Amino acid sequence: MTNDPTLAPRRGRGTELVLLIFAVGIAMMAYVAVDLGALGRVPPNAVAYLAGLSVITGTAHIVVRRWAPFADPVILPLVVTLNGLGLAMIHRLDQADAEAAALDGEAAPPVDAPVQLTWMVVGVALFVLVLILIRDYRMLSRFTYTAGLLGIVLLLLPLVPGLGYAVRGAQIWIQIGPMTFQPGEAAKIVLIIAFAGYLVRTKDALALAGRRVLGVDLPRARDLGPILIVWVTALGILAFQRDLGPSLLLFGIFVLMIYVATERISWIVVGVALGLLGGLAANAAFSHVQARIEGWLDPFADTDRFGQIVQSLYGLAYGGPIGTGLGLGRPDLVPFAESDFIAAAFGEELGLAGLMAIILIYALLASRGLRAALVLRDPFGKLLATGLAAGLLLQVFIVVGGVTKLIPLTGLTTPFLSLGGSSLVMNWVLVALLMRLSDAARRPAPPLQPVTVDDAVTQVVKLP
Amino acid sequence: MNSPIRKVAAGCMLLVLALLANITYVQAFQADELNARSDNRRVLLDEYARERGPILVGDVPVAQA
Repeated sequence: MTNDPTLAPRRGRGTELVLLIFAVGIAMMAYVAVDLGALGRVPPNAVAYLAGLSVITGTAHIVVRRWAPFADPVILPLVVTLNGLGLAMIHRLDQADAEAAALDGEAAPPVDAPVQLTWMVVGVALFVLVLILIRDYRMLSRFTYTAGLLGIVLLLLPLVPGLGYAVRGAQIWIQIGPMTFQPGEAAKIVLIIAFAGYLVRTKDALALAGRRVLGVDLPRARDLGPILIVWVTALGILAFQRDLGPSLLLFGIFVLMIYVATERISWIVVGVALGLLGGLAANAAFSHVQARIEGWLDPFADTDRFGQIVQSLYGLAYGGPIGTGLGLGRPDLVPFAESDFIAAAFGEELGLAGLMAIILIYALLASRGLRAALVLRDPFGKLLATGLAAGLLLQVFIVVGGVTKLIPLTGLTTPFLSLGGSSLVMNWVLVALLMRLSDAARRPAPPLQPVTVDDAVTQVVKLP
Repeated sequence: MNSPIRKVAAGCMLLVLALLANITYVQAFQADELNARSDNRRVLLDEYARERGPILVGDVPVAQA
């Protein structure tokens, strides 16, 4: 932080523009490479696609220049790269499906890539809207309890009869007319805001009161309330919506944030203990959780039942260190390659090198968010930035770890890559919030007005 | 609260390292074993796609692959 006028603050908007050109270039080359690999020709609409991507990205960049001039210049290019790679891979899987249908003599199934591109436009529109409407992130702390309530309502919506419906056993969707939506994605962001606001208000009580047992400061029973409520809610989602991923993610984010707010390692101990307890209970109670754990321990014991994870591993192995090249593998052999298993598709066609690069893009994105959290001075902003950034990384770990058999498989989308409007749009909102936070973190303090002794009121007794 | 944020960042790095180590194991070290499995359709499809040349009787090709 400097008030020296000779040191102009670095906004980094020029850097952002250069990086964005790279990002759009990567997205474009991936799109062309898919068609070259699969069909042996440059896609006929390549120029239109480049123009479209440039307009979408350029709009976001101009809005950042105007409304978040000090925001971190690396965040937006990283996100555009991920979104562009996701579009290319979804286009790739469209082609594989069309090819398979042609072999069977059937009509080509509807394509997903244009739909995803439309959702990208909606996502960027919301990104712009968030940056314009939320000038100061601190206003969000006013909505702590509203946000908490809204988050719980959003989580419960898919259980409302007539509104919610289940896909592949997971009751996490709502349908309004022809539109379908996964409210859980929005709930995640709203709940992080609520957690941040709540923890700022209560962190002292959570941190200071307690008893020391075996060298660990245990919190008071009455302070355990909030973490128990989140734990029960997470288990409730798991039980009623039959979806492991979001419960794990939500609980993990909350434990992280409570640790950051209180600086007490005991909350992590309590959190991990509760998490294990919940996991054991779920394993005992639900057959679908048992199946996930069996499939993790030994998927080759029953390659039909655990076909998804087996095919995913075969795809990764087939790709090897450098991959088959875009358009040249068989990622369509993995069921649901375009949504939950998109990481396996990238591992197959871009190889170990490509998948590593993608994971590192997420790591960079999270590190930029955490850097903003370190620099920000108010506890609400710090907690919000930590929750959003670490939450994003945790989500990537849960889904990519599941697909590559590091941890048991749970259903979650891969941010910005997976097919699905709700996930893509809401992650753009998340990034808009991170941009707003990093803008505040990097913005130089307003110059201090010099106060001279002559102007100041120093007299204690007014003399006549 | 910067000290716990730094620890969260370190934790995130560990998660990333775990992911990278695991995919390295699967894609670089376990790959041959996985590709050799009999129920792996990808390798089978590769065999079907391989050009094996015509079958000749004398100089006349009787079957084209």
